[in-house]
Amino acid sequence: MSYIELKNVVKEYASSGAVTLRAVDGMSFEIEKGEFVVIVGPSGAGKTTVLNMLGGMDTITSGEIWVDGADISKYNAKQLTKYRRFDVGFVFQFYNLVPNFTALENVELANQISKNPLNAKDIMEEVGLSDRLDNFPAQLSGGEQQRVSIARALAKNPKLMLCDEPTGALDYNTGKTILKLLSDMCKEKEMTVIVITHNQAIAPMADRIINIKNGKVEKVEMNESPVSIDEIEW
Amino acid sequence: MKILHKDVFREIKNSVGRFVSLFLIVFIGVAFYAGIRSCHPDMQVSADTFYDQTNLADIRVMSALGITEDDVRALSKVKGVEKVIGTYGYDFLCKLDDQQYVVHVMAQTDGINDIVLKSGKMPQKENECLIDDYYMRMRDYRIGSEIELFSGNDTDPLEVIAENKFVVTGSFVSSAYLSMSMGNSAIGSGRVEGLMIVKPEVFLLDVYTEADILVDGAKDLQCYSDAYTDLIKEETDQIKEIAPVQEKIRYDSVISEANEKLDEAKKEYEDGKKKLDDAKKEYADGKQKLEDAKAQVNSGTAQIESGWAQVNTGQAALDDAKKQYEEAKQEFLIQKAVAEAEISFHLQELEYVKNYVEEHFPIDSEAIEEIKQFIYEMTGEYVGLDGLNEIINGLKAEVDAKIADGQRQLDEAWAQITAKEAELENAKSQLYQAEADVASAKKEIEDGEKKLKDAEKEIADGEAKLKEAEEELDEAEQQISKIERSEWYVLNRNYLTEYSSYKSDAERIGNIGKVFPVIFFIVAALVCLTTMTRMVDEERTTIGTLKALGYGKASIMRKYLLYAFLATALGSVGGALVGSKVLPYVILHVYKLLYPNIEVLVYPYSLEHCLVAGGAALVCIMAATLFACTKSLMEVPASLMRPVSPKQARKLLLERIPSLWRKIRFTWKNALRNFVRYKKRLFMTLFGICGSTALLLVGFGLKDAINTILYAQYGDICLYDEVISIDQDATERNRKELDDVLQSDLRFDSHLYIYQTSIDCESENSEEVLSCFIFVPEDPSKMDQNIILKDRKTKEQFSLNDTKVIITEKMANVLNVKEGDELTISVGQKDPKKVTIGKIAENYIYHYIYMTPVLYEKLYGSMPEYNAVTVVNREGTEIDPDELGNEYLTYDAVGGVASISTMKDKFADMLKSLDSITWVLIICAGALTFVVLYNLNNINISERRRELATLKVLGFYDIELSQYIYRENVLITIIGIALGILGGYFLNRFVVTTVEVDIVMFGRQIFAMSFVKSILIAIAFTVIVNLIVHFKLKKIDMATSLKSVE
Repeated sequence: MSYIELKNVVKEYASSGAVTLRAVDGMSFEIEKGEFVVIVGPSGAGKTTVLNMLGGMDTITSGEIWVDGADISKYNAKQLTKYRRFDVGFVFQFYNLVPNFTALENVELANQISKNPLNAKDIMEEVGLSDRLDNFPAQLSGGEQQRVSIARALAKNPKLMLCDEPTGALDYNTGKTILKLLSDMCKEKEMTVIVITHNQAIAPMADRIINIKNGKVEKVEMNESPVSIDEIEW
Repeated sequence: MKILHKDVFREIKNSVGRFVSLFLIVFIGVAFYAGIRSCHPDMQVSADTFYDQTNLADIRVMSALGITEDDVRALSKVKGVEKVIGTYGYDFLCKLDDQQYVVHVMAQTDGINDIVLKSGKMPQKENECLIDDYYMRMRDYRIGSEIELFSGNDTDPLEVIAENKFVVTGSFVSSAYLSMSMGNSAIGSGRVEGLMIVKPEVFLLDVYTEADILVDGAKDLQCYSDAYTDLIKEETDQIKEIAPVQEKIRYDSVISEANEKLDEAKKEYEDGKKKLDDAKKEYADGKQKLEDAKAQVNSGTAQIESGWAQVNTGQAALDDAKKQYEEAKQEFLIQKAVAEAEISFHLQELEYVKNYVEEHFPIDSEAIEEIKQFIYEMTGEYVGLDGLNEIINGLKAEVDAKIADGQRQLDEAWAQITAKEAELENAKSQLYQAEADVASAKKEIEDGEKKLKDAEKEIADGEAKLKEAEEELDEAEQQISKIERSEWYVLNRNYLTEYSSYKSDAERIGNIGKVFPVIFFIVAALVCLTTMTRMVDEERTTIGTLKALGYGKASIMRKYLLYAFLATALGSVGGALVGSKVLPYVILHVYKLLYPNIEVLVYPYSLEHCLVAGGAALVCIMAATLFACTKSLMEVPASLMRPVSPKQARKLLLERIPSLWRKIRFTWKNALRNFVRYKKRLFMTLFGICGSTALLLVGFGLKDAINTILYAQYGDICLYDEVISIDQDATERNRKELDDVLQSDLRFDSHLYIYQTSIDCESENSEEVLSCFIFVPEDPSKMDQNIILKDRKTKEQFSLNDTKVIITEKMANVLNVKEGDELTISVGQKDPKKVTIGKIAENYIYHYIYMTPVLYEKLYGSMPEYNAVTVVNREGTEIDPDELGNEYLTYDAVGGVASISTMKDKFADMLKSLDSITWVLIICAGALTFVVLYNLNNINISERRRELATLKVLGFYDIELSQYIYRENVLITIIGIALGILGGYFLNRFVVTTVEVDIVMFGRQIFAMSFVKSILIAIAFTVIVNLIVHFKLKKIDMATSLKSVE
């Protein structure tokens, strides 16, 4: 069994009226431990929904999601919270830093709730922000904020990093450095990293590329020789 | 334009929670404001309507001497008098189950002081009556029950009323008696327990006891309004103008009547005196006669004795004479026999001679010689025979004569003896007679003496009676001289205790209405402001978009204004409609428990209060919305469409001390930073909690203040248990009698004579003329057994001295005076006097000026006439006030008995109503706390939804997340409560002084329990709201919250 396995996952939203919206329609794929995965697809394909379900942020209507030998689709709210707390790190498009905390404190916020956290200052140094430790999010640029966000995800030392359009709100170069940071972390810490993007161009840097369309997996490509982000242009 | 309208309704639909909470806050605020404010006028209008419907007299004229037909006629001619009737009211006793109750019997009237028939029918006959509904229910009377009336004093009830047995035909309520306390009486227990209506013909009095007057145009005015008061004042003055004339007429007639009676009595007295004098004279005569008779008897007795002596000597003489007579008789008889024998000898001789002669015939010479010799021998004479014969015959005649003479002498003596004897017998019988006479005279004397003794006693009695009569006459004279020109009491409705207590109860509610709704309102308005600001902030993007699309500021703003307007207008209208009816309904019904006889309860909408509340709400909230909109609309569309740049977090001062800052946990750091960051909202929350806590504390504090009145006044200050008032007509003898009884009554521990009367009091520092009681204890050293004069704060106890007075605290406040200031006091018609305030003493009910008799004498030149006694019961003695009243009212000196426990109960009843209002207040404050906290927390969550979702994603447990929010709430709650307690403490002071009426001072102290309760309730609400927050947080959907920028 793979490290992560989705089996025929369906997610329906009961929207207004009798119409039910099926955001994810019988999706199945597998991911191995330590892989850098890119999930691509057009807007509305169900990428974020899958990621949310995978990250324990959302429940599924039917199907199974196996992560490291456990079916998280059967988890209750409390178990899901634990799962998020100890096993998953999130990186969002809009960083979602707590505005009230300094960069370092934002990292420490994650770090104080996990079992074997990494040192917050070390992480900040790793993401290259050792000189902005005491700045509040509002005082940081978008790229810097995203780095803090990544640092916060890493600090928990999670099994799984889930990144929802991490470069979506960033300019080209900054986006690139963030992706580089993510792929470096993946390799360095042997962490499974899943990145959602609508940008097909960055697919070559992944170990596995999952194409999604209309709530279904269109195809899964394995990339035997991923290229460095530095070599990719779009 | 149309599409924007659609937007408004869609907005409402999408944010039902916010709309409803906005609506509710406005609703509560306006309802409370309009409702509480309406209570005062509603209470007044209800009462006024009832008064008008029943034609409650505007003015009542009473006089100690009664009101005559002539007075009534005079009154009817006074300008402005619409109607006047003379009527009767008289107190009687009626017995029920061995208890006696005082009932006030009134004549049925028509058109004035009408009654409302509650059951049965009006009395048709003279022996039928109605009784008041409360009495009927309390004493379990039925229609058809019989009531017998007794007099409460010496008068025969049948002198006042034609019947004293009545059949109950029904029950009634009277607007003159709104509650079950029907005033005081001079008889029985001193408390009127029931009312009775009988036909006017039942009363036999020559004069009416009172005249009731309706004033022209008074009905059109609201009776508790100034206009009404002014009108009645004017009318009262007019009536007072004719009063002196009528008073004089009545006075003169009464005085002349009394004088006539007095004269009659005097005459009777004089007659009696004269009779007594006559009797005395007669007695003296009788005595004299008796003395004379005694003297006579004595002399008679002496005479009798001497008579007896004479009789005795007479008897002795008689006896002698009889003896002599017997002897003489014996001698005579002997001599007679001798003489007779001689004579017979001689006759024999003669015979012999004769015989001889015859034999010897013719007789020789010898014979002749011999015969001659013989004759000679015989007679010594020489006589012939014939001679002899003659001699013998002569001798015989001589002897016979001698015998006859002797016999005659004897007979004479005998006759004399017999006469003497008869005489003696006569004297004896006379003596016997005299003796009998003397004996009867003696008896007569004895009788006379007895009679005299009786007469003496009678005279003594008569004298005593006369003396009594004299005293009575004096008394009567004194009383007549005491008959003052019986003043007319021209009373307005205030003399009805219930009328004025209802008024002050209404005022109290009015006072509450002045303070609380405003606070409520401010809290509500501020919360609405925050809500609307938040709403506009949330809609930034939409505003930006619309602006970018080219909509004008006005049309964009319209949506928010419309939203706010709809919520506020609905809330205002709803609040005004519901509040104006429900709150007065609740409060008036609470008061109906106190004043059960109020038949009419109306809750008219007060346009003024509704408009003020609604208008203020609208203006406040529209202004707030406008302000929030303008702020956003000033920005350019581009910046509006960008996410709200998160508010800059700032380093706290605390962070300058890293050693300390590092030790603080994250969540606390966050909370502390949030304080600075969301100043406005936190301030609002703080204000909300603070305000609500303050209101709660004020609510409880008010309860305490009210309870303190009773506990402190009747527990710590007034130690006496009964007040026995002394009848002003009581004589020295009556007083002495009462004093003896009091001294020996074992149920009492001590008693103190006091002089207490109502006075007017003024100071230079205030416009107010305050009516208060002057209180002069006969023995100031006994004050501390009866009344404790002490400082409220320091508890220092005061004693009276002869130079300065002690006044009570509320009075000092009202008159704005302090120790050392001067007061001007006026007692009745006496000249106003100035006194210096020595101390100010704690006191809660009424106002008192305490002074020593010495000071009083200094002021007024004479000692006060003590008119009451305060009595302290012996510890552990339970005394039934009614029984005590019945018992003591039998003494002439006692004018009334008031029991402190009864007074306490009365006050407790009065204040209980305020208690319920306090509860309304507490509940409303609680509701407001809840809505405010809920609303603000909602805003908090919605403002920080993203942050919270992030934390959730990071894997914060629900409880951790809640705690993250709670830190702030707990902190803010603690600070809010602390400030609320502080603010509430001062607010309570303000409220208590505002709410209290003039005659009472509320307690100034809040009990510890009230702090605890207020804090606990505030905490409870916070906990409940936080629980709701907890579930709200649980429901935050991470996926949607984080998906996009709002």
